[in-house]
Amino acid sequence: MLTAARQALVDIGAIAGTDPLPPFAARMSGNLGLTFHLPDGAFVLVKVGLMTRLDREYRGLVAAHGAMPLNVPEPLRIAMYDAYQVLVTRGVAHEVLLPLQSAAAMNTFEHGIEMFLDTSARAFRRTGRGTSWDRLDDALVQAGSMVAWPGRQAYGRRIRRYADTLAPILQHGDFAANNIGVHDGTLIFFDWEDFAEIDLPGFDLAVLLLSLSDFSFARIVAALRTASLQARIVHRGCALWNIAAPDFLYLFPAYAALYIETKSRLGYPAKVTERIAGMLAEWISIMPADGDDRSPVLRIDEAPSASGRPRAAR
Amino acid sequence: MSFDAAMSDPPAQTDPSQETRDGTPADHTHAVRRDSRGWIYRLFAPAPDCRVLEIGDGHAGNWLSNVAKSDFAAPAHDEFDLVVMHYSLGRAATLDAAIDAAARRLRKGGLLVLAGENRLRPLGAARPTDAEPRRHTPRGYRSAMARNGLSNVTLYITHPPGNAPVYVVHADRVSARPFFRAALRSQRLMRWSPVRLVSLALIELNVMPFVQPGLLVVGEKC
Repeated sequence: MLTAARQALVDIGAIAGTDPLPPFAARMSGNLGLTFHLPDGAFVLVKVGLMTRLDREYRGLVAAHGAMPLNVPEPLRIAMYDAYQVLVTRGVAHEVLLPLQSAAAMNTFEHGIEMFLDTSARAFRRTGRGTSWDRLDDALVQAGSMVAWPGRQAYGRRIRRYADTLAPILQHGDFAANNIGVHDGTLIFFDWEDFAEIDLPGFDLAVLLLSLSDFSFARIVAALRTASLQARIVHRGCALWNIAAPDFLYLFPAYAALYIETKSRLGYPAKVTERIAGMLAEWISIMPADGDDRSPVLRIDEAPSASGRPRAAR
Repeated sequence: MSFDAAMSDPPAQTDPSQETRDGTPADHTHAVRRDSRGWIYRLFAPAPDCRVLEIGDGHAGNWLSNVAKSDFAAPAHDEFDLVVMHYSLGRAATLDAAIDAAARRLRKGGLLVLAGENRLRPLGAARPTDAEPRRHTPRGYRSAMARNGLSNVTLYITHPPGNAPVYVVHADRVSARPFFRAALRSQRLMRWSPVRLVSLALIELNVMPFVQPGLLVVGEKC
């Protein structure tokens, strides 16, 4: 496999054909990831597709890097070498995002997420009706099979009214905090292999909030009822999507169902969807059976003032 | 100083994109799905069907199709593209004798990939395997290879050590330091923690690769 990686490095011009292979770190995680450290101090990531094809990830990186060149690793090449599909991206040195311990870190996070939401709404918006709506009924049935949900059909009917008002926006697809890094005060967004699988606005933000809240819906609502960083981000997102914050919270079961359907279809292990199913069960237990988006359960303050001291997200 | 706990989390500067999981496998995937052990030998092998001699139980056959398992007591008939020594000297009396025997079985330009236990591993660190009690220092492995007709000898660490490593890291400072820095960061130690400060010093001096329990040494027959 080093032979394939070497040829990829030669083809992108990182090394000459006669150069020795640069020092590397390799990680086996189903597919093989190689980090090559080049003589000029830069590094590139070479991913060798052993378990899966890498086309989806490449397409996601191309679209995302085009929209956010400072925040997404640049894809350099995808090609077949020695019967392996090999994807090369430019490396971006970064620190892990969490924990958000300082005001500066929270400020970076807030501005970075708002930039992501703004850019996504502009660059990834699509016309017409979102394709996620076509899969939602089946997704709700699938999610309903994982939790006891007597109000599922009623929810499925009520949620339809959003289909005509929410303009589709292609979503990252796995916008959890562990897929975000920080470099020089800028957020770096990784893991674009599920990009464009879902186009229901708010999905990415819901996944991010859940990953910051131990996948607890109640903790998200509690945070949104204060002048918190989360509240400011949610209000920013809702303004972009032209919905109210309670609407966003009411859509959480739809987000959960689409998450479960998509991850199951793409072959993710069951533990990935179990956490989201747990959140769905919590949402069901909190909401009255006939509750809608005007339920007091979902009532949160209007846009909080920006003067509120940000709370630690974790 | 053990980095086992730290390295159970993936370092931030390794491949940040997660493993992919869709249902369209490329070639050579059947073995991966069943058992990933042995991938470190496929990493260095020139081709999936190259001729391989395996000493010890390295599971090279999970990834390579033309593997002969033997030891150095058996008479040598064939020349191999790759000899794998997995925590085993193949019944040879010494490391030098084993490497000499391996070199004799390699074609010119063939590779010897030797996984071994580090004599300098930290106290209390898990032993990679119980299969072979002999241990050597990184310098010991490398000089033994150089003495027995192998060139371009390169040292790597494997983590976790043993049969199922997840990481292979070149001991060169440009690759080792980012790896160990990331591992240290993931421990989330207090800023002035003595463990953190000592670890940082060892990382900056690039001592860390040389005190890891699992080593991989690769040399090419001249």
